[in-house]
Amino acid sequence: MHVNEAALIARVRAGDEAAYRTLLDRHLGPVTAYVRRMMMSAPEADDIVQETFIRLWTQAQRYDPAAAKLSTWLHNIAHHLVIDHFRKHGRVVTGVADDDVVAEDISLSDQIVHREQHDQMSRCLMALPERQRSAIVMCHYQGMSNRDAAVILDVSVEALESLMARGRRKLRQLLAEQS
Amino acid sequence: MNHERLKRIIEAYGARQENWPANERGQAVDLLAADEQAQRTLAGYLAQQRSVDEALDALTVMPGADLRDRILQALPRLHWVDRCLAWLLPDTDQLRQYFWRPVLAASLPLVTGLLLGASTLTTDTSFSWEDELTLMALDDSVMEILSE
Repeated sequence: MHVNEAALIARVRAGDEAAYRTLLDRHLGPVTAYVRRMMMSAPEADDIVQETFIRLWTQAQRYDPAAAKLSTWLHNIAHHLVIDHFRKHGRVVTGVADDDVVAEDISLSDQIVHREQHDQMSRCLMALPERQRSAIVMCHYQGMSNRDAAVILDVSVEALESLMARGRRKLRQLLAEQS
Repeated sequence: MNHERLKRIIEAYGARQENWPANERGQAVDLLAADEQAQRTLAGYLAQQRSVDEALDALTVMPGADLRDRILQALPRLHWVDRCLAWLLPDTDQLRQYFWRPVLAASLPLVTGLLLGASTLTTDTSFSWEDELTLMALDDSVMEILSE
């Protein structure tokens, strides 16, 4: 946890918008990255990110700094919102957001190659069962510790490792099939 | 740390040592660096997982440009009563730092009572003296009647 994150949370609980903006700037990028990689649909992902951060504002009193890092708490909220969304609407891939794909400072041919690799990986990742995908996204992309990821998925560390190993095996198989 | 555990770590976390569990990373790296048999046995696993790591890296994402503003605009405004309560009654984990706030909240009725009492207290004592004299006179007359 950042040095003054507990103090910022206390101020957010008292309705301090400046403290809230500081926390928003600190955590918006990672939480957005997590949700977008889980959903592969920018508009729906952004709705879930928005709901996650509104809960930071309205339910800050529920966060216990002694129990978890704020980033873990926010990822936990986002994760459960994503799962609820899939339960209600099914897992629909509407396409990858253009602004996610490539930087504009590379050549056109590199952009095309990058786009193909990006689309291929997003298809493979979306083909994984949700729990395997969550485990890989949290530990590979988000840099989360195995314990934090296990808490969010409500499994033991051993079970988390099993999910990741099976997910990576399946990814390798899917990538081989597509190439 | 042994070969079997190192293999399971590579299968779960990939080939990049920085992604391995922090509490086992040192031992795993040392074993891989020092043990030639481990290097030979696990070379194939490492190569497989390295290709998965590189494929995963292709999936880059960036936050939406207007998402921050959208979130700030969508924030529900807290009622001033809720803000006051949140300030006066901190959560248990904050209680040690802000113990004086609930003390202040508890003493508010006492302070309010003292202020109200002070503001309604009359300083004009003429009526009370007159009342006292009347009572004294009544007492005398009653005593006279009684003595007769």
